[in-house]
Amino acid sequence: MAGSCRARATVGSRGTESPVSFRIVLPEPPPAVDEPPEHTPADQQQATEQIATEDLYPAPEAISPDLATALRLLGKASSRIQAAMLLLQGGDQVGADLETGHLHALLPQLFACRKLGEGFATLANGLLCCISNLNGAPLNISQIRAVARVVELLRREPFVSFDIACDHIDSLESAGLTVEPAGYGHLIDWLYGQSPS
Amino acid sequence: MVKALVETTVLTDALLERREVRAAVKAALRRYDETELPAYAIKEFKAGPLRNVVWFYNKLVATGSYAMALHALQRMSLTPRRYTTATALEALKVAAVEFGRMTVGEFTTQNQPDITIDAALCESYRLAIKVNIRRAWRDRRTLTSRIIHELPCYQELAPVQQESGLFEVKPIDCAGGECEMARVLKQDPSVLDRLRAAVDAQPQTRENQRRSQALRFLKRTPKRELPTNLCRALGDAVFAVLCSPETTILTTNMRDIAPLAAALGKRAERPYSE
Repeated sequence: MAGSCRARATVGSRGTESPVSFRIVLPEPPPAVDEPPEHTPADQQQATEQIATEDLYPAPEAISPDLATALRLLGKASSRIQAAMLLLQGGDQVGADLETGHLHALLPQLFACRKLGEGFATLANGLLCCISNLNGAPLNISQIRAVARVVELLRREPFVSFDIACDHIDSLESAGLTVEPAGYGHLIDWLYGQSPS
Repeated sequence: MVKALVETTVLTDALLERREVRAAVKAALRRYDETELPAYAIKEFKAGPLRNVVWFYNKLVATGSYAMALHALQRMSLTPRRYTTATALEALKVAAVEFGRMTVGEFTTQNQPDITIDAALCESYRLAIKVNIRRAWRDRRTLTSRIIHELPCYQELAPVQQESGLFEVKPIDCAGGECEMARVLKQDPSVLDRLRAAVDAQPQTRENQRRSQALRFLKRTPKRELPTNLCRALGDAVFAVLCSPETTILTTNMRDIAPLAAALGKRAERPYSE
């Protein structure tokens, strides 16, 4: 599995028809090829300029089908959630909910791309569960923001680690969203149970 | 100063339950100036509820099917804590039907054309449980003001995910040598007598019989090492002993804890409604 795509890189493309070639320029000392780069929190300013995921992978046919599908879906999801945020900030609740409804419709297919990694799978599942668990109720502004942060994280770092993903699951919960599948409470109660005396 | 000692049932609710219950536990703990958690509660938590959750996780991984994992759960001799088995099963089936309202087609992509709803549901539960296993272990020592009575006889190791994807949740027993809880309980033989009398006055469930046996062992053979299975059997008696007189035991298992606490002149209370 590839590591994080947040590498400082100089990208050279020989056109959209041919595979992307690029040279990675690294700070000293250079990390080992198979060593994942150290993660820095998504909202911190970066000392080095970050390359957009679409620029790092400009040719969809050159990357895995799951990654190509995920990036396409995440692009749409980002547009929807950003639109929802703007609409709700402008007082248009109906408009915002229309947008999040479209976002919801994307989430099962995003979940289907979970082979990208446990971090991706965890967040895709969390998004799917938390919006499904609203049972049609609209998201409030803090919930929209929390969802937007997760969508943007996945766009930037589709190979996000499981540990970082768990931190973002916590932030969805802090916004009052329920990130487990419906029925989870009954399952835990059963597993918590005792053997017969 | 108002103090409380957290027992395993409250610890479990704080670590594994759904969001609303976890929030209720934390709100309840904030009512106290100081809260304590015996390390023994973490040992009990790992050997009991956490191990059961890991078991179900491993079933989901091994079968790749929510229906099969649920079928395996029905065949285990576990009884839900708050609900009847039939109620729990019905609720889980209803939840599965709700999930299944998303059609198979919505989950398929060009890259994954053959997924079933059962497999998607299996993955959804697997991922949610994995998050909660990680959170539970990460937060186990952060809920209270302090941890008391550490266990030098026990290695508190995190659950580990193997290459197979299955979790290993060991050790659940002490490493050997003198049992720390046995050492503490043996300090006052009259306490053992009072506890045993309180246990014997309760319905003679298998759990109470084992507890009585462990207390009798400590009283009659104080120089012998307590076997690990009897250490586990001490269970609720440990909290009654470890709790200081001015501290309240917080538990959702009042049926078993309250008589033991009362036998030693101590208090127990349920910190929140379920």
